[in-house]
This record gives sequence, structure tokens and C-alpha cells, in this order.
Amino acid sequence: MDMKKGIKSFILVLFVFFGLFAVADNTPNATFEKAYEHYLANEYEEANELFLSLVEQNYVSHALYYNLASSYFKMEEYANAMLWFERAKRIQPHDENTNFNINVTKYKLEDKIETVPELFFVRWFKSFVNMLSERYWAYLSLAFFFLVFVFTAIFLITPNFTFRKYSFYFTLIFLLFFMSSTMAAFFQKDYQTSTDEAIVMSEQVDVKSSPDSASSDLFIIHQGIKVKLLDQIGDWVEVKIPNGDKGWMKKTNLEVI
Amino acid sequence: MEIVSKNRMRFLTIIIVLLSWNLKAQDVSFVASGPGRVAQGAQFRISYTVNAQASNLKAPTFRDFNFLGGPSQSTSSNMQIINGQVSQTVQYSYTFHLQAVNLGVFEIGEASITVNGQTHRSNKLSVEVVAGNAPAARQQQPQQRQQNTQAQEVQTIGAKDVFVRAIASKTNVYEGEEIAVLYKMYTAIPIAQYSINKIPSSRGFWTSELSDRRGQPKQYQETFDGRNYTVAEIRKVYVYPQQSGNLKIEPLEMEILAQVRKAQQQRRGFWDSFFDDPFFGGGHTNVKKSISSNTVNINVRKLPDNVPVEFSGAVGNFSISASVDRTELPANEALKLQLTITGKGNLKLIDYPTIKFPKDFEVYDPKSIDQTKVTETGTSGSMIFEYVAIPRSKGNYKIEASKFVFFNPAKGNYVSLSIPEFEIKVSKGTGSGESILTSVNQKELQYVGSDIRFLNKQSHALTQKKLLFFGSFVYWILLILPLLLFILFIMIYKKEIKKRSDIVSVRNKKAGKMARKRLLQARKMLDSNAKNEFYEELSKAIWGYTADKLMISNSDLSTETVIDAVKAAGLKVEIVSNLENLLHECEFARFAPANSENLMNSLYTQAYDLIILMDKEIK
Repeated sequence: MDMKKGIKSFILVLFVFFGLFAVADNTPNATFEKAYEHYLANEYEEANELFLSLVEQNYVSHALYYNLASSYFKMEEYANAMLWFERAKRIQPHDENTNFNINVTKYKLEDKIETVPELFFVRWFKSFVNMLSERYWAYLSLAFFFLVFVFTAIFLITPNFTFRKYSFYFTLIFLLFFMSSTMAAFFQKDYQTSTDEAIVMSEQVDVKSSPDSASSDLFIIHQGIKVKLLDQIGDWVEVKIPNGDKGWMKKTNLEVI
Repeated sequence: MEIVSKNRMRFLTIIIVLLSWNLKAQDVSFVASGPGRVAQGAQFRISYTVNAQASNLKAPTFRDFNFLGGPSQSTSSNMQIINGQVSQTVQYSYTFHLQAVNLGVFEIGEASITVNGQTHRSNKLSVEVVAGNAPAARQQQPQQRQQNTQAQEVQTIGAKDVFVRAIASKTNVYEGEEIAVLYKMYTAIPIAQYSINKIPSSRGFWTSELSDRRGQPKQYQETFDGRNYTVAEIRKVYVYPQQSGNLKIEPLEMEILAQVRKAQQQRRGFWDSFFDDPFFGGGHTNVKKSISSNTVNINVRKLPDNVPVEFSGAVGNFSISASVDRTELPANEALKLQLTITGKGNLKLIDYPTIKFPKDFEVYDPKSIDQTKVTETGTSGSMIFEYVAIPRSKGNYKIEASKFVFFNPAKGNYVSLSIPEFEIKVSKGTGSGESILTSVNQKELQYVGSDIRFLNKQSHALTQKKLLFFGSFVYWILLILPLLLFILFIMIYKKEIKKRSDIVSVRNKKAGKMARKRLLQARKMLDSNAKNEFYEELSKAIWGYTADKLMISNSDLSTETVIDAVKAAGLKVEIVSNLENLLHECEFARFAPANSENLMNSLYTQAYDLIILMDKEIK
């Protein structure tokens, strides 16, 4: 009796499952597939439209952003490509392909700005933090925290001296691991939620010396450049370009990553 | 302001420009030039030419010559554009006007000038001053004129016989307004020759001479102060006041050679009288006389106060036209914008109007082409300004509309003319020089020409935006959970420990009490002579006491474990052996057939003493 019931419900589940796929023309994954095929067929505009529609429906994934950016790149809209590659990078900072594509896109831009190299320990720290995404760092931090208490407990109750010694060491090591993974998770989260970087979207922008259109022009930058936002007054923002120069521009010229 | 022959100056500059054509813009050349030979009394020019923006000109002292004026400055520039590369040559020349006084060969020392903080020295010049008409003297020669219309019997020349008048067309003008100054020579006696000795240098005026003043000056008869004169318009200039206030046009100084009849009383023959005719000069002597014109006072008014920002100093009446050579061009190619200002007024003094090119354009100083003419009616014609700009990147740009403002002195107001807006479409250029910020480092070169990597396949179902895990509620709960578990664990553990230690202490305390109870029971049994019960109670007392005192569980109780435990507790050897003996004897006596009451008594006493002893030893 019970056996029959189980088989029945299993069949029902299967039915629903495949049924979903059969109807699935406008499920997000089907749209994604369609866009992917357009891209394969070199129909970049169509692919772009579909990827963009998914983004507009608030779907989020590294692959989606990455593919949208790629379609922009193929359409030679390099500022948009830059924006979405950077957004994809936010989700998966360690993805090698994203970083490579950002560099290729940079080369296509009007301005070749020499980036001020970061100090070696800043670079090391960043590559450490970028090893995992925020979620996995958080999982690790929880696991390490748990292990800290496991070994503290062992340390407290064991009568054996050697056990006590090793459990003490392990407690310290896991405490250190816990702290670093928590810090990494914190920085990852900070990186993903920060709104202090933007891409120049206007073809050409005069960067002013102060937040006033009558003030003197310091330099000109073109679309696609990633800038750091330092300050904001009204609809003016103070930006810092990769070579370290600072100046003011209208916020409308920018799109925050 | 120096009066210089503009035409010749321009000619000279052009020659200099042509000569210096192959000069590189970077090399500074500072050259002095002048005539090698001049006639005595002739005026000549010494020019210093430098091909860069210079300052602090130090001229030598022209002590061997009569210094007439200078330096007057002029600029000419020449721009070349080859494949978007712009090279510009500029010529600045400084001209001094000198007059040769003494015969001989004179040296003019070197001059120095500062270019970009560096001092440059010119070459030395030597000038030979010869008598009479020297061919090298290109300067204006004294104009000779035979005046033979009127022969009058004058012995000396009176002030009324010959004089010069300077007549200004207006005496009440605005700054920059054109004034014509006509110099008229009135003569009532024949003049053999005249020469202008000193061209007036009038402070505050910019002077321009008529462009075509070749040929004979205009001559006519005029009655002045009731006397009939022959009038020659010897000179006409246009002056433009450069500052406001009461300005003076300095007098013109000239020298005349008048023909004065010799005082001869005797009559002579026909031929004599024939030769007496002034035509032959016979019977006349030439008398030299210096005369100078009157000073003209000009009242110059300031321009009205409401000066528009775009006003560039143009006074007169003008029209403007602007054009670009193309509206669509690739990046890195030159765009030419031509601005033509046509009209009448101080054209040569107009500053080029500012054109607002887009910021992304590389803009060069405009080239000005002078197409003006100074005629009888004043300066007219057009000034052409050619602006060159090179767009550096692709895009749609606007050259903003701007204004050209001039002052119309006739109406007494500012007139604003608009320069239209131009839309420029710049397509992608072919050149490699892209932007101002261009600098590609080695690391980036590896990406040249490479394509982006292929798409990512979605490995799992797409999800809508979700919250970050780190710092979320679940995260905190999961973080606190092990902490709570740990605290719970420690609490339970401690309780357990406490419980255990409680049991131990109770047993320890109860051990003596229990033993006493059992011994008392054993006593009773001894009294009632119940042999078996006595031994049972006695051994129970000993066993129970040691088990409770030494924490041995009942299941482990045996003679060996008890002895081991007692040894481990560190009791004295004799107590251990006593205990061992007692335990053996209890076992043995219990099952022995004959037992005296004495033995039971002694065993009881032994057990009693031992327990008391052990109670003392074990804490």
C-alpha cells in the first residue's frame, strides 16, 4: 500500500519537473540559453537584449553579467562592457576570465591611463581576499569559529597533558584562521556593496578643478575609464582616475559599478 | 608711437621670414640687419630679428648716428601643418631709425635679448657713410622740387612766405577712433628742395601712413590769410589714439631750400636777364630754412563704461564672416576656421576674437592675414584670422557661437556681431597618437589585438538578487551557536564534576560512621556468641570502610585491589600488613570449626584499632 503511494508521488514530481521544462520558454534559464545561442551565431544585439532583460528582472549571477558585458564588447560599446565586467568581477573577484577581459577592454578605450601600481602588501592582501567570494569566506569563518570552541573544550576537559598541549595550539591556530576569514569576508562584502567606484559613460568629459562649470579644466577623460568617487556636492562628484589625478565632474557622466 | 613705413616693414619682415624658412623652431636666432652703405644725412633702419618670444632687448648705443626713434616692434608668424604635425615659426623684429651724420665707417655693437631665460647676442654691423647719394640707402630721399611758378623779389624768407600746417580731421574723438592728419606746405616763394627732417613721434597714437603715396603730392592754389599760396599736401597719415585725455600730435620738422633772388642792381644784357630766370637758377641763391608745423591738440574721450566682455578694441564700422573648411573630418587632422573682419577703422589693432573650441581640440594661435589698405579715406579692407584646431578623438562636437564686439564712434555705442556655431563631426582617425593621456606600458601591450574570452555557461539556475551571507541574520545565529553550545557544554561539565566530587566527600565522611555502626553490631554478635554473624559484620566493616575511603567500587572489591589501593594511598607498611593479616584471619576464622571467644575478641580489637589508625592516616 505504502509502496504504491510512494511511486505515485514520485511520478507526480517527475511530471511537474519535466512539465516545467516543457513550458519553459520564458523561464530565466531558457532566456539565458537563447541569448547564449544568439551570441554563438554572432547576433550580438539580440544576445545583448536578452541578457539585459534578465538583468532588468533583477536576476543576478556572475555568468549573466559577464555575458552581458561580452555582448557589449562585441557591439563595440566599451564603456558598457567595462561597467558590466566590473560588476561581474564584484560577484566573483577571483575569476581569471573576467580580469583578462577587463584588460582587453581597457586596451580598446580612448585613454590609456597608466595605473599607479599598488604596494606589494596591498596587492597580496587583495589577492588573498579575492581568493573566495564573500559567501565562502563567511562559511569558512563559521567553521573555524566552531573548531575554536571544539579545541577549547578538549583543552579544558582532557586530563592528558599531550592532548592539552596540542588542543591549545589548535585553538590558537583556528582562532587566527577565524579572524582572517572573517576579515576577508568583511572586505569582500565591503567590496561588493561599495558604491565608490564608477565608470565614465559620456564620450568625453572635462574634469574641472572645482564643482562649478565655470572653473578651469584640469584634464579630459573619455568613456570607459574607471574612477574612484571621493566626494559629492550636489550633482558634482570628485573623482580620482587610475593614475592618481583628481578633479570634479557631473555625476550624470558616470555610472556607479 | 613711431611712424614707420608699414609697407616696407612688412616687405622686410616677409624677406626675413623667407630667409629663415628652413630654420628650426627650436633654434633661437637673433640677427641684426641694416644697410651696408648709406648717404650722409640719409635715414636708415637697423632691424633686430628674433624667431621666438623674447624680452629684455638691449640695443647698442647708436652714438655715431642721429637717433630718430625706435624700437618699433612687428611680429609675423608662419604655420605649417604636415600630417597633423604643426610647426610654427614666429618672427619678432625690432626696428630702430637712425640718421647718418658724419662720413666714415662706423660699427654698431651687438645687441642682446632674452629668450626663455637665456641671453642671445646678435652680430655686429658696420655701416659706411658716404657723401651724396649712396646706392645702398634705400631710405626715402629728400624730395626735390623745382618751384618756378612764382618769382618774387624776396631777399630773406619770412615766416609767412613758407610754412607747414598740420590739419586734423577731428579733434574730439573716442579712443581708437581714426583721425586723418594732413600736412600742407604753403609756399609763396619758389622752393628748390624740401626734406622732412623729423617725423613726429606722437605719444599715445598709433600712426599709419597712406599705402600709395608715390608720385607727386597734390598741388593747388589756396588763399590763406589774404595771401595766395601754392599748397602741396606733402604728407597724410591716419592716427589712432591709444589712450584718453588731451593728446598732442607733435610738429613735423622739415628743411627747405628756398630760392631767393640775388640782390643785383646792375642791368645786364639780354642773356643775363634770360639766365636771371629762376628756371636756370641764375641770379638766385638757395637759402636753407628749417620750418615746423603746428602742434595739434586732440581731446580723446574714453569709451563708454558698459564695455562688453567680448570687446577686443575694434573701433570703427565692421562686418564679420566666419567659415570652417569642413564639418566632417577624421581625428588628428587639422580643421581651419576663418574669420574675416571687414570694414573701416583700426583694423590692424584688432585682437583676434576668442573662439571657444571644444576642449578635446588642440588649438593653435590664429594666423592673421592683413588685407587692409590705407587710402585717402582711411584704413579699410579686411583682417583675416585663421584658426587651426586639431580634434584628437572621435565624437560630435560644437564650436560654440561667440561674439565680435566693436565700438562705433559715429553712433557712440558698442555693436555686437555674432559668430555662428559650427557643428563638427569627427570620425575615428587613423593616426596612432590618440589622446593626451596616452601612455601604454609594457604590461598592457600583451592585450593588443587580443579578443575577450568566451561566454560563461550558467551552471545553476538563475536567482534573483539576494542578500549577502556575511553579516546576515543567519550568519550571526550560526556564529553565536557554537559559543552557546560551548557555554552549555562547560556548564554541564562543571555540574557533573561537582556532583562527582560531592559523592566522594559523602562517602569519605560516612566511612568512619558506617564502620563504627558495623563494629557495634559485631560487638553485639560477639556478646550473644553468634559466631557467623560476628565475622560477617566485622569483615563488612573493614571492606566497606576501605572501599568508601579509597573510592573503590563494590564490584572491584577483592583483597588484591584493596591492598593495591591502600598501597597507592601511601599508608605505612605496617598498616598495610596489619590490614592484610586481618583480612586473611577473618576469612580463615569464619570457616574454622573451633573458635574461641578470645580469638574473636582479639580480632575485634585489631579491627577497631586498624580502622581508627586508617581514619587518622587517610584524609
